[in-house]
Amino acid sequence: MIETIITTNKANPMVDPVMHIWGWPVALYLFLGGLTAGLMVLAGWLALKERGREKFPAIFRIFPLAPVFISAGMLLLFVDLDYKVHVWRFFTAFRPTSPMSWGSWILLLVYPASILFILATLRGSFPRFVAFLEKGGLPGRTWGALAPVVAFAQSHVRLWARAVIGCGVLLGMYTGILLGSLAARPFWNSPLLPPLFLVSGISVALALVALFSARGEESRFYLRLDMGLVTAEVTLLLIFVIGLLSSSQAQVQSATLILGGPYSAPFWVLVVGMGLALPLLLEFLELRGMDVPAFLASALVILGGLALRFVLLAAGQASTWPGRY
Amino acid sequence: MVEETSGRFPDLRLEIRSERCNHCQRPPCVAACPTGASHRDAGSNLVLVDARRCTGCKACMAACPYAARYVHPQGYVDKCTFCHVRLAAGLDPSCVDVCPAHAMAFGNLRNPLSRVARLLRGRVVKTLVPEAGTAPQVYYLL
Repeated sequence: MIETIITTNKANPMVDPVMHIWGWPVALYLFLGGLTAGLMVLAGWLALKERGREKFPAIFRIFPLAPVFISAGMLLLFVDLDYKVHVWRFFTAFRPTSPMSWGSWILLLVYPASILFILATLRGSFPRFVAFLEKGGLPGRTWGALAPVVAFAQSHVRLWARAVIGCGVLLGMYTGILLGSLAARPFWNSPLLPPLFLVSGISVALALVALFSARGEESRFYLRLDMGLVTAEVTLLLIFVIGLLSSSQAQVQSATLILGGPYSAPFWVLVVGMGLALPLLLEFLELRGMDVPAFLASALVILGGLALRFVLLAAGQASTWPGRY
Repeated sequence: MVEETSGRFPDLRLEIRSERCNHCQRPPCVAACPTGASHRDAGSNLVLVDARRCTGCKACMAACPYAARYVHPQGYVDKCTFCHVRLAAGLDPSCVDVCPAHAMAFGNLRNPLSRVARLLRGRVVKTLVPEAGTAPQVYYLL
């Protein structure tokens, strides 16, 4: 038995409850970043696969939201900064040992790649909007200047598709590498976090697309694809827990946070039960011919992805080396 | 200050530690810093924060196994500097100076003739969580 009394050290979460490190803005950023990464990988992949004969165009109609989502995420990161006037410092340095430095540059790459991809798919996804622009919907000569850019983007669509896949994979994985690289947090020290975050991001993106796609064949296509990814996510989470339990004492102790410790209920009920198992069950019932509302599985997957970020972020920060507090 | 009682009555052991930044040789806070604000000072090997470059992103706080860092009310992340301003003037850090029991010593471990190097020789010492791979530089004489 070890009893530890901290007498004068204020800079400690056990003494000062506001000493937490990353709160809800960062968890929400992880969700939005993952969602954006998922949209990018998915849209790029389908654009390469379908070669312009898109059977299921919903993803390309939703994709213009990707820069919006990532901007909201970056705004949340800004909210989390404690020295906001120094935010520009991220972009006057590149520190190869710091995943956060890689991340800040990756976030800048996301914009040109996704905007070029949006322009390249504009005519196919929003034909009436493009027709409206061509008829002089924009003031003055704006369209005259814009049209060549759209034509240029369109002529290289496969290149931009590859670019959004690349950027999406980087964006989806770097956050997991970031958390995993922090020496003080055994719970995060797992090489499975990057693929877990990426797969979860793609699955959330698929759920969103399924939610806003045409009823019937299209939404079935996206939802079925999503169930494959949810299965992959369950597998990754399982190996993640097994990995912690078969690692050194620091990891084993940190795994108790979700195996009986304070984060067990949110992890098993919200992340695993509500976000993964229930959607899989609903999908299975629907395959068996039961009439299940289509939006239900999608909404659960999205909420589950949100819960995953909140729980993993909080549990990781609560984990310490044995003997520390 | 940390007071740690271990063992089972009556075989108890009490350890009182004055904890601070360990000025690690392999500081995870420096590796995690995206702007280079956290750095190892070239001359002294102290781990310091350049407040002009710090964004308050708190990656270093998440990386530190010793919870040695905190957010200064002005927004940047701050930490023990071993009183580097006093060191430059040839003085000891304040904590070493004010300790009425002379329980602490500060010096250059690379110099085998320094007081700290002599203290560490022939004594059983421990560092905090060396298994984190940080090579901490605050030694506790047991």
